[in-house]
Amino acid sequence: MARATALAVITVVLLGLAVAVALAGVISITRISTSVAYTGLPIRVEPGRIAGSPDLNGTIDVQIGPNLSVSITVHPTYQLTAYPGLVNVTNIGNTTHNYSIIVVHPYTGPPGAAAYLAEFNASNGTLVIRANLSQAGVYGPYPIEPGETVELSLVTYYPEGEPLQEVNATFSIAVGKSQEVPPESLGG
Amino acid sequence: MGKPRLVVATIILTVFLITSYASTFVYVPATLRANTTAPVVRLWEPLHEQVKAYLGDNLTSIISEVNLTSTPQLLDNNEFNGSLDSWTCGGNESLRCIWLPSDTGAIGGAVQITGSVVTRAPGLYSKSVEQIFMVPENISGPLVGIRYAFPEAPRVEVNSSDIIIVALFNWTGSYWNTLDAVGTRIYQTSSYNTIYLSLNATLKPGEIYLLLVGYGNLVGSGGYTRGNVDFRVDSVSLSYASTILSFGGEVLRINTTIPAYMTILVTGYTDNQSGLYGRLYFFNGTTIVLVAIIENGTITYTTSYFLRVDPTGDQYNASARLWLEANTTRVTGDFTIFGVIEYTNGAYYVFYPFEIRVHP
Repeated sequence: MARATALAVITVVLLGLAVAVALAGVISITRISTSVAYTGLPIRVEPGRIAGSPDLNGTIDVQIGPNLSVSITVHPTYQLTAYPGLVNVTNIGNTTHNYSIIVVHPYTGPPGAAAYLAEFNASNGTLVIRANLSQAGVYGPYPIEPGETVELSLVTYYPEGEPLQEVNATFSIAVGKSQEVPPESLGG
Repeated sequence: MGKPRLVVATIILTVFLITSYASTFVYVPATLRANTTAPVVRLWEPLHEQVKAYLGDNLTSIISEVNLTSTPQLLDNNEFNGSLDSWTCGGNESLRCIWLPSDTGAIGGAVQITGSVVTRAPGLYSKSVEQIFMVPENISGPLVGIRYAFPEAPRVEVNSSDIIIVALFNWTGSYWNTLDAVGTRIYQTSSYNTIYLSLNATLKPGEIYLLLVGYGNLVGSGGYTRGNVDFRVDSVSLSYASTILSFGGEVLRINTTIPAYMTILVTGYTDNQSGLYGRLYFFNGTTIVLVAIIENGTITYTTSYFLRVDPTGDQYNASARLWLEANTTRVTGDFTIFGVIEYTNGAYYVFYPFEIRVHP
């Protein structure tokens, strides 16, 4: 019952996150100021609004590395855990870009566990990309307009009865000028 | 290779290279580390004799089966098993009220009111256990059953008597309004005995009530009494006979070890000709929120109102609970509510699934 029901509501959860985050104002959030603007394409990548906040255990950690990398550490529990607003990507240029998520292996986790990335338009809360982190592939693209911010969120599912262990995933955020889908082989 | 073929090959290679470099992507490699952790919020089975619950392995999901009956029990945990939980045990300067995990002759746990009384003036020493509850239909003259022992009674010097007090309150607005209060004389006895008291009150669904059970010592004019008191209650029931099938009580309990904002989201339901009418409530110990309304087998209202839920500081007492009032005139058919319990600190959001199956 638990898993079937949980997966049935995952879409509801994803769509409901934009509304649910209205409660975010009730807590004090420590914002990490690190952000990186990339040469080549005018985008800015920075920790989202929940980065540094208390997690179910420890804190929600988002690190933007100096060499074009993002590292996210969260502490979800059984059933569904959602983290809306982990990373922001903003188009700081004058033209539209294409934004995609490329999921690559390795993904590790117990049988039945799942993790989804959900990309929202930060201004209107529209879900623009949903990427299954356990299935390699290219998700998107989504045209990101000048000045627009895309907010990366995470939903995990961890089945009851399984011993607690880490779930790890690797993916890339790909932003390009062309209308082409980025090649998956370059994503890792 | 001839010259023409070399030219063609060069052109093809050039076109390929141009195509390849026409795409300009920025790749931001990312890693996710989900270091799973034990739940800080756990679901507990409800303590109601009409409910059987099936909890998930890690207490993060639950199926509650609710049996409707024509003689419903309106009180949760009415035998004080495992803890006081939904009951409040009150004391004063003379008497204290404590929970006993077991007692000779008692079924499960018991409540003990103990201490000493000394008075000359007309007075009433009363301390009590009390419980908040709701009802599934209009009820007149509910019956209270109390199984008690009274192993130590104060000396009756002049014109005084020991009594059991039962009072029923209606919470209207911000104050409790007494609907009915009765007392009956008791005598020292070391064994448990059961008495029944009929209350002269009318109860309505959708309203909140409080039942109080306590010990009292009445001293008449010129009277005098003093001595030690040991009054024990093994169980309290509040029931009535109905022409329809109903249920009123908790269908799941929630315990949290951290302050959290919680809501109950009804995500769906199935109806098999149940003809069910009912209401689902979320209660955090101080505030009650109407979560859903069921009308003739259809959910006609839901909400997603958040309540703050705090730890109780007692590992045996729930932080919050879900109440159901339900009734039907049909003896067959069933109704199932699907939903999730959502809690958050404003940064993370956690969702536990639940099912409530209601049937005769």
